[in-house]
Amino acid sequence: MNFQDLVLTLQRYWASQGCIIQQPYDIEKGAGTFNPATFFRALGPEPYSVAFIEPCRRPVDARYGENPNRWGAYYQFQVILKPSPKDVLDLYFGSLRAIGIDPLAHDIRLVEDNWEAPSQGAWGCGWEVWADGMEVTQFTYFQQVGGIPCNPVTAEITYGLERIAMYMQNVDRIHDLVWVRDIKYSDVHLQAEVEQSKYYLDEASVELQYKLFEMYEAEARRLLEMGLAFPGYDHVLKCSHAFNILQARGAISVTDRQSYINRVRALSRMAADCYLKEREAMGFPLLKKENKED
Amino acid sequence: MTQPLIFELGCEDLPALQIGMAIDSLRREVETRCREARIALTGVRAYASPRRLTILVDDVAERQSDLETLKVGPAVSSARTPDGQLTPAALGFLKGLGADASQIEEVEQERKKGKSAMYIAVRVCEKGAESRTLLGQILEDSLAAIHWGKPMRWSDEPTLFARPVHWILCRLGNDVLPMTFAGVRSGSLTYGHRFMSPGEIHVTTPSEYVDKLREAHVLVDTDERRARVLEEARKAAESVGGHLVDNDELLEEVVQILEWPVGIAGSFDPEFLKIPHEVIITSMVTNQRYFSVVDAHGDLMPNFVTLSNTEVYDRSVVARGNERVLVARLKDAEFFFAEDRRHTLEYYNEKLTHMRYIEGMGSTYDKVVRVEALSQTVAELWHGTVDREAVRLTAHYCKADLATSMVYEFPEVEGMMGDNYGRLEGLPEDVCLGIRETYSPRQAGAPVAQSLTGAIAGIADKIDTITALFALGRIPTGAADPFALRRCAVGIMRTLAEHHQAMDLEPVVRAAIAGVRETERRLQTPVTTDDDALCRQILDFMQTRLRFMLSESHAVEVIDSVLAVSPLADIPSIIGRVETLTRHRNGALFASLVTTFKRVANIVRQAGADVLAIRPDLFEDPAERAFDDSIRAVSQQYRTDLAAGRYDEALSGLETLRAPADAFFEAVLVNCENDAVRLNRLALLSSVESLFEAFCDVRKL
Repeated sequence: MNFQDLVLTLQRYWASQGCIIQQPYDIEKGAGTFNPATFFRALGPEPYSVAFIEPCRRPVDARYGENPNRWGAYYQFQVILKPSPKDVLDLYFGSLRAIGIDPLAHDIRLVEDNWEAPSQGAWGCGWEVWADGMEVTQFTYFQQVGGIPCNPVTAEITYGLERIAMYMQNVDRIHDLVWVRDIKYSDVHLQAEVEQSKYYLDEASVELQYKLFEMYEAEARRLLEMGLAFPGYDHVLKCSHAFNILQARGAISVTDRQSYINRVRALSRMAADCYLKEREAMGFPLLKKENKED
Repeated sequence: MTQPLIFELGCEDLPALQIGMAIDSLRREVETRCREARIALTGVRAYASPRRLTILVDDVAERQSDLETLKVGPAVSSARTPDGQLTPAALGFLKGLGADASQIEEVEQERKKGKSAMYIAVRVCEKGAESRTLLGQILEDSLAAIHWGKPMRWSDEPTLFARPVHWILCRLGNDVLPMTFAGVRSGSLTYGHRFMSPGEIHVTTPSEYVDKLREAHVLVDTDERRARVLEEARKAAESVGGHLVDNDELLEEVVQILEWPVGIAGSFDPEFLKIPHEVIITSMVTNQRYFSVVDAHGDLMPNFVTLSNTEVYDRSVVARGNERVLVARLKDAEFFFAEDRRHTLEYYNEKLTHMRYIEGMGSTYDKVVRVEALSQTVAELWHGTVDREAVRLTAHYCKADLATSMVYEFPEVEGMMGDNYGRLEGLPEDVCLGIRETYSPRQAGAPVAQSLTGAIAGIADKIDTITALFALGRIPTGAADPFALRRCAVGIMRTLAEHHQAMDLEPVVRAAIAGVRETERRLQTPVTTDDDALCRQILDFMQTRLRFMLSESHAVEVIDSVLAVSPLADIPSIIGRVETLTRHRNGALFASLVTTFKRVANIVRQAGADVLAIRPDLFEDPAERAFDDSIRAVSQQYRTDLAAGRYDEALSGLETLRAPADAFFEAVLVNCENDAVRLNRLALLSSVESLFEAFCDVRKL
């Protein structure tokens, strides 16, 4: 199965399970969990089921496109199911079958792994899912997001697309993945990966990013205090990305690292509170929709 | 009449390392709660797998046993009028219990302290209820009482449990016993292996439970599963011409992540065997949970064994998949190994200046400087020949590998890489081994450092760690010991004991404090405790750990009797004396020995007089002279035995004093009229007391 079909198959599968299919969020982020469709929707009582592909950027993982397994930009496929359905694991195994991983042909195992994202004030319980010893998915029942306990609980399924595709296509380098026909992953993304690596690792202006961090932080705070959850949260994402670039540039000492994480977490909490208040003021509209259907 | 109980909670995959605890707790809770509820159980069995917790009981009493209680009413004085009639108070009491006057008994009771009186009372028999009406609640409460490390919620269910609950099979006799936990109601069905036998299974008797699940590809009995894992793993290892490397810790974990273990062997390019084997083993065992395989000579083979949770169509597919994952890791390791070797350990040591050790205590390099100095203090106090320069080099390089890529990527191989890289750059053998062994013992019960370099540098490192964290106020409390200081303390004491070192720890701790203060001064870290208090605190902490360590196999009063007379100056002797006392404690003569010498000790302490020299001219009775003679005869040999660690012999020496002491007590009165004679007798006793005190405080026994 080529990379493109992998994504399309997952989208079709989860659409058929009743998920909304959204598109990626248009701001840099380190993981799909930062998408407001995950971060915000996991909060409060409103049900929400959504699937989307999410391009992620991890400047510290940039390797000039030379490492076979590690790139600074990659994709995740996210599924958010709220409240988590009772048969969520079976639904997930169904998605593996849909992409051609038959649980009777492979050793599929759930290995305890309790996910944590300190800068998002978020954690959950769940597993890494292994297929023949390879981690293909992170499966998490969110317990807290933005420092707020989740009720009802959301199930988050995050597929590592490149890894799954490498396994299915039997290739050893991300570069060699077939995207579609004779087009390789490297044809689509390698130049960007090389140039972005140079930027993240060598060229990014540390002073500028420090300054940007401060400015984004102040702006996020200002907007969130005004009750503007989305634009406020956008600036939290920008803060987080500036921090990631600074880290890739080696500009953040071990001591400072924690304090930056704390600052981003404080903003994440504000954003979560802000969003929840706004939704509450609106009377949790999606909750009403569900009740009407009942 | 009794009925069998089948109870199984089915859930999503539980955290492997907590399953054992959970099933033990569940069984204990059910048994305790049934006992408290007077429900008799016989033939209780507990089983657990990643997806189920099971309690089977062959016989559950159909009813609670009856309960007879004595209800006590008013005092006789206020229950009856002087002519014997019942008062309104007594009648009210009877009415409340539905009893009549014929049932009245009179009992004596103490209601106020020290004052007893007669009361009227009635025996009430509470008929046992049907177990069926109570058991559901007991099971629900027992499940809720399991103490999971990180309980979670799911969906809109308010209950907390380790993972979402899916089904409850609960049958008492022929019927479903109704109960509800985490929103799931009990039924009569269970389910087999998630992929191989997902259908419903009816289990009607406890005796068929294990077999029926086995048919459905679930080995629910942990012992059977463990045996199968081993059998499968050994078979797989033999299929590639090798032997399985046993690893109990890995085995226990693997047993709890599988319901149907299938052993599959894989291989990798032998070229990778050039990478230090610790790294290969870490990749295999720690990261991938594979067993490693050795040849007939015990050398690592380019093979591994993984346990699949499914009997797949084609095992080679699973083998190939696992091989690819491992090879990707080994390629990384190969790269780091080549990369790291471009520099010397000295280069990495300098990089430690940028690595913070802990807030307020400088960099890891600062720690290295302290440990290097402290290692010389320990070396000076070490009994026997020590190559001080080798110890210094060991301490100097013991943290260098923390700055290498390999240890960054595989933290478990810290110290081991220092050894490997040290050898490659030609550092002396004992220094390399010492670097590795600075970390010993790596876990509770693991071997201590065998090399002197590792033992001495390791003690210095551990004492510095304890001192630095105590100075910062980061003292272990309750269950919280994030810096594993308790393990450090035990490591120090085990190392000293096994190397037979009678080392006074106080000067070492003082030197460590001086080193830490130096760092604090430079960093301007606020100092909160004075040096004496800190030293006391650290030595007390170590003594508490020693006491705790010994309490695993010795009675507390034995340990305390030895610790009461011993500063932390000679750990092998403390341990030796505790072990000797434990061995002799149940012997026939020991009790009378203790009785006699407790008497001695008590008299000496009570007298509290200044101890004078013994004057034979004041002896009045032959028993006094005989006692004195035997003390003189024993004491020198006794002290020599003690110093030489011959504690059995020392104790026998003391035993020979018992008869003369008893004869002495028989013949004379210590506290006699004549002051000089009395003081002389006390002097005699106190010389014996001082002998015993070199062993232990007998009064604590």
